[in-house]
Amino acid sequence: MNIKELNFLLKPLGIFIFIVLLFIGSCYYGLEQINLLKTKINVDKKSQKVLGTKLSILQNVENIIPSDISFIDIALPSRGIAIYAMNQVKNQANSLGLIISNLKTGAVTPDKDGISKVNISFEIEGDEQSVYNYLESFPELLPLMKIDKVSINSTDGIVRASVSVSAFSGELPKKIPSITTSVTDLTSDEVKVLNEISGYQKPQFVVINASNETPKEDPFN
Amino acid sequence: MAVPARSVSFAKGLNKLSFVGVILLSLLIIITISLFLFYSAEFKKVNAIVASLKDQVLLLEKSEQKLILIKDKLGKINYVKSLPSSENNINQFKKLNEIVSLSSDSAFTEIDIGSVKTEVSLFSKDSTALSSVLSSFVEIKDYIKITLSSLGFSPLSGFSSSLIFESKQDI
Repeated sequence: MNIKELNFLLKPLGIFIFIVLLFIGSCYYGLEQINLLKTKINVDKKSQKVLGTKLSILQNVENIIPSDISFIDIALPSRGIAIYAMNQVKNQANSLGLIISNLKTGAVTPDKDGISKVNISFEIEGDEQSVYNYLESFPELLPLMKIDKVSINSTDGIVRASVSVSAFSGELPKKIPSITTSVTDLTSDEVKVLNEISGYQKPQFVVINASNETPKEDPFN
Repeated sequence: MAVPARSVSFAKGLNKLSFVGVILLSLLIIITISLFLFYSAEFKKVNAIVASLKDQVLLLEKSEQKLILIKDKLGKINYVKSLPSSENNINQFKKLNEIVSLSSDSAFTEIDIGSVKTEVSLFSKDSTALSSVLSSFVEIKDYIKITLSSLGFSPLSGFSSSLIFESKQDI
């Protein structure tokens, strides 16, 4: 092949190669952009599905959950477990006409998965039926408590019991999930436990109102 | 020197291929742009729906927090409820207490109720009273094991015995 022949073929060959390269480049770039868009659409469609389900669950939440859910916090309080538990222990004893003494509480110790417990020990004295009624009432008291041990002795019809109880507290969740994270509805078992707990006896606290006394006389004036 | 005929026909062939290539390229560009515009519109539409749903979910933030709190607490409550406790044994002990109460010649002197077992000290005036109470205890099906851990006799006070009742564990 001579130089004249080469010069002659250069232009059509150059044009052909240019068109081929342009074709390949357009294919590659075009497909890449379209695939990028399709990926974004798929991601958004997944988010749409999750958000749609989440919205329907949250709209239904108010129909399932009672408006006052303070009982759920008292069941496993995040703070003050010893105060709640001792209050409940004393109030129950008083309501059944039992004498309560030697009420002691230990330190709060961590148990598992954000749950802590505190040991409370005390002695009660009274008639036999009231003592057993008292001990049987614990499964339906808030905060949740478990009787670890009971020692009972009886003299002349008066029953004395030394009781050791564990009361439990639970930490609040530390993280709120992001808006696009899915939520699950309450299962039927969870609704059952929720309804059960809502019927348990909460501790009663006496609210002391400020009095409207007249100011005391100044003895120096 | 003239260009050889084969080079001329080769060049003509390349020109024809280039022409076809330009048509195909044009078609490719049109199709690519059309698809791009279609998917862009689709993306805008889905994006708008997702943004609207996010706004609606944000309005229900309090309900979401309530739900998360309740589910967390219920999980913990279920764990606490599964822990062993003495309540079952206290209920079962009432049956033992009824048996002994019916007998005027026997009485419990000490009772220790735990989550796994119940230990009692029993006083019985005579062997008849003791065997009657023990026979009644055996008929109660609530315990997997009853152990007579000690037995003593005093001519002045009668029989003193210690018993350990082991409960069935919930599965």
